[in-house]
Amino acid sequence: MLAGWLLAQAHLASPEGMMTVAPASPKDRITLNADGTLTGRARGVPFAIDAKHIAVVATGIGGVSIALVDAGACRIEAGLNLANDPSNTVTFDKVQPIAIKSAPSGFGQNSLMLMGALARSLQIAGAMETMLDLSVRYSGERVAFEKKISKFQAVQHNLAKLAGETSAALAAASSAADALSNSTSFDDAIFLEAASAKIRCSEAAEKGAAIAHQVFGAIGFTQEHILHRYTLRALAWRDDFGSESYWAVELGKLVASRGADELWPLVASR
Amino acid sequence: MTAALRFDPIRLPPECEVLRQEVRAFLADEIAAGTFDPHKPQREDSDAPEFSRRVGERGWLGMTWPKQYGGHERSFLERYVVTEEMRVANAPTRRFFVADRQSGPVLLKYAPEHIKMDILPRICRGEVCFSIGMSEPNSGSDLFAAKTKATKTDGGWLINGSKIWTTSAHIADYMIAIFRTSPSTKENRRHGLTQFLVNMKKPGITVNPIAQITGQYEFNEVVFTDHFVPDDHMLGELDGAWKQATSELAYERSGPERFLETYYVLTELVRAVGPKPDTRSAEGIGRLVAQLHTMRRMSVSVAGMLQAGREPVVEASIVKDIGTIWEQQLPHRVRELAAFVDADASNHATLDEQLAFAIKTAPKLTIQGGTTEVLRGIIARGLGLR
Ligand SMILES: Cc1cc2nc3c(=O)[nH]c(=O)nc-3n(C[C@H](O)[C@H](O)[C@H](O)COP(=O)(O)OP(=O)(O)OC[C@H]3O[C@@H](n4cnc5c(N)ncnc54)[C@H](O)[C@@H]3O)c2cc1C
Repeated sequence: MLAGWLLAQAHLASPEGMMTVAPASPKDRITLNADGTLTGRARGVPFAIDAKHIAVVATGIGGVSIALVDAGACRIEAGLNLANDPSNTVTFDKVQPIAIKSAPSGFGQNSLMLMGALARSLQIAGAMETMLDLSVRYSGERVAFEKKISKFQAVQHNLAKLAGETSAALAAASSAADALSNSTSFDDAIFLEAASAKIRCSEAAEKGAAIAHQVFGAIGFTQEHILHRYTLRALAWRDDFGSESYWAVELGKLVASRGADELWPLVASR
Repeated sequence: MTAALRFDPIRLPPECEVLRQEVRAFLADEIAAGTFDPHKPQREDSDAPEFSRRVGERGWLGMTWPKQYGGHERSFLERYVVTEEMRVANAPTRRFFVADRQSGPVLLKYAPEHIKMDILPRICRGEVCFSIGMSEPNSGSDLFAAKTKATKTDGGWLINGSKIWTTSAHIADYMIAIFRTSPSTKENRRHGLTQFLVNMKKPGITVNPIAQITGQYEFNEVVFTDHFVPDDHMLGELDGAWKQATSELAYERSGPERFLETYYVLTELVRAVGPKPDTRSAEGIGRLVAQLHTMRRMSVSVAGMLQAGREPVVEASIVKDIGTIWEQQLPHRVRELAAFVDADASNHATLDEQLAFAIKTAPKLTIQGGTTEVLRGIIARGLGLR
């Protein structure tokens, strides 16, 4: 989905079959060489090992370009994220892209990171809705000390906290999604929305996953139980397209450079 | 889905932005004229009757109420903008805040016509101050343990007993209070309390100020000795106050005042850190701003649902729960970051002073208007757990 969006930014058609995007980490750069080939390394690329094509943001002397690359032309190392989903290091060694075009004005490397961060935020929020749903339901089934555990106030309060974190994740992610889909440029307000979503959803994932596991006790800690498919993924997605600490530093720098008296106007503009 | 939580990405309409600029210009003029200092949340004298009148003149009180009562028939979202701009500027809103948020809407719903015609326009003009008389020495979270008694007499009721922690009672013209009119019943322990409008300027009321750990006097003990309340001052159903409480709560619980109370320390930290922060300060500020933005988006979302006529009780309780915890933690997080600020920063003294005040303020934020534990009980009920 993200790859299709990226290609569409440069009016490149999406090919058949599975795609992924690179880079997937804000520190990685792919260079567009003078001879039209691509060089560089991208770490933590989701599902690269299964993908047929990779949509790439590359930087050259002429600025930022968007390219479609045959995954088979790259070196792809095996690797797994926390949730055992493929997360691969992709090395581009003078790879000739299938197609390449200049990115539209205003589109930079950071644009892909913001969009990727938003996509992961939405996924985390969705996973948290399910964690909440599963946990609430289980607390009404599991009996301990001759009571449903949902009747213990400590359990109720933990679930209320999980509902709070889920709400925060939902609100932050859906606000950022709304903002990005109604905007053509990547200005400070969009940056605030997308960076905040990734930061807040990642923080929510940490707190929420811990509570969900607590409510389930040992059964939720098993390979067989479905819970870890949501908790571990939510935790893993924190690392893609910039972690919460990365975005917090960037957002902090932005806020500081605008100055103290511009903070509230920025927040209130949303 | 067991819990259908909704936080739609509501955006404030353009008229709100026009209004926001008007409020900012008004507040800038008030600051320039010396009415208040936005850097000093720890004002000694927070009652500002003249300021209150000027806010009323602008049409910013009773904004959502019908015009026949002096209101302005504007939207909840417009009221939201006025509230948040006042809060962020540390404007002295004490005189009108409770009346505008809470007491007015109660009167609108339950007071007889002649009382509405008398009091509501005065609230809109910023002339009257309200207090809320719920808590008693032996009744806090457990509101339905209230004992202060209203005894039937000719043409009205005689009140005896006391309320406590009553914010602004020392300057208030009126109180909306609950008193015991019957004992509770076996079937319903919430039965037997009735809501009344109390005129604080009539005989039989003693107000004793109580000092807070911040050094301020905000709340009071209010003692009633044969205080007479006329029949037409009873609000709503006899013995049925419990039915009236819940729907008000969404208005009380989700507003911008529920996460902005200590906001000023964040602005001051950004100022102290300067345009080029080190990594630690940048990360700290970034995380706090992400929280602030998220809280605000949640709160606006609830305001939008209220505007649409829904009663998002669970969502509103969630906003208050995580909002008050955030505003309580904020000064502590800012303190940690401030430890690394250049000692020569020009606003260092202001920041230190603000931090001292905000850290002392922090404990109350998760107690007033219903404790964290009580809110989580309400959320748990909304999740179907109780
Ligand atoms: C600054 C400030 C202003 C206030 N202004 C007003 C006002 O204007 N008008 C007014 O009427 N009141 C006011 N209050 C009072 C406020 O509403 C009460 O303090 C609050 O409802 C809690 O009651 P309490 O202090 O009696 O604590 P208690 O009810 O005695 O609670 C003590 C502790 O026990 C916990 N607890 C109690 N019951 C339960 C339970 N069932 N499950 C789990 N935990 C529980 C509480 O959460 C709390 O942590 C104000 C309070 C403050 C701090």
